[in-house]
Amino acid sequence: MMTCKEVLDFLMAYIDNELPTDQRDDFDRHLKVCPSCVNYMKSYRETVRLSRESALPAAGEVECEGSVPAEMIEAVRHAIRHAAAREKK
Amino acid sequence: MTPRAQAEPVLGGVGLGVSGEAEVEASLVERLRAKDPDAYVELLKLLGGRMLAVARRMLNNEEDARDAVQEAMLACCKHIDTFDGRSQVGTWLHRIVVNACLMKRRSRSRRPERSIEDLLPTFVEDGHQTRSSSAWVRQEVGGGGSGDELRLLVRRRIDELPEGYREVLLLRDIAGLSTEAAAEVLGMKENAVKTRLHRARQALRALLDPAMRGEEAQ
Repeated sequence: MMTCKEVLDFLMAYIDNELPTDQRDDFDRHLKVCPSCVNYMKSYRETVRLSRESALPAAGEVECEGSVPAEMIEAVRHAIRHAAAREKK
Repeated sequence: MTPRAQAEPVLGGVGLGVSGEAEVEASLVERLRAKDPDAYVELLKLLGGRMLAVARRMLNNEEDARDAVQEAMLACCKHIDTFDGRSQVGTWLHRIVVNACLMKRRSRSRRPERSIEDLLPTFVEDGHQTRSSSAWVRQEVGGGGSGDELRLLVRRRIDELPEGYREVLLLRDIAGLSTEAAAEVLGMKENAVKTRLHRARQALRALLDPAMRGEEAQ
């Protein structure tokens, strides 16, 4: 049976369904008898979820995906015009 | 936008999101190559919102995010001749934005970093964990104040990761790049990206562990 070290080493591959069947079965057998590794796996999954959600705006932070600030549009227009003119010289 | 939609990869493999997309894109790229400022503004209006969302995710700072997108638009203009049309222009621009964000992060003041080894699980000789892992008990309560607290805590802990690991985590779990795309941006092999991502997640788990077990004040 796999050791805790092997389970934790292969955890991402297990979650991503990248382990061959025999190794996956071995992994599952370990989880059945090791609450510590089960806890670790749950907290690892939670870590991934939390890091993805950490990028969501907190209260008061700007998030308006559909719009680009008008001043930014003008700044880009100006910068591109300038860069294009410089290239033509 | 719903929180769920925001948690998905933002620009991975997207196009312009308009009808008759292929023709519209081809015509737009032609005008981009001609350095038509209006074409760049059009591109910015079409994809700028999503690019800003990616930049905000990676930089956690509105001003830096806007700067990064502007820099990406200029880089797009400068390098448009290298766009080979094999990917969609949105995907190409996404990579440029991600690169601009990485450059911005790297230019921020550096502080001494802790070793990743200190944050990885340890084992005794027979392969068991040196210290058993306990269950996480902290629960989020709705999307209000406590959700924000946890979010800010996670951001702080991500910032504590060693730079090379933080970058991989940002590209894969936050900007939503595939392993292949992250490997290309970082100039690494795909397997190395996978290994580094796994370690980054393990290290972040270790950094969050005391608070999530309820043993540490926020």
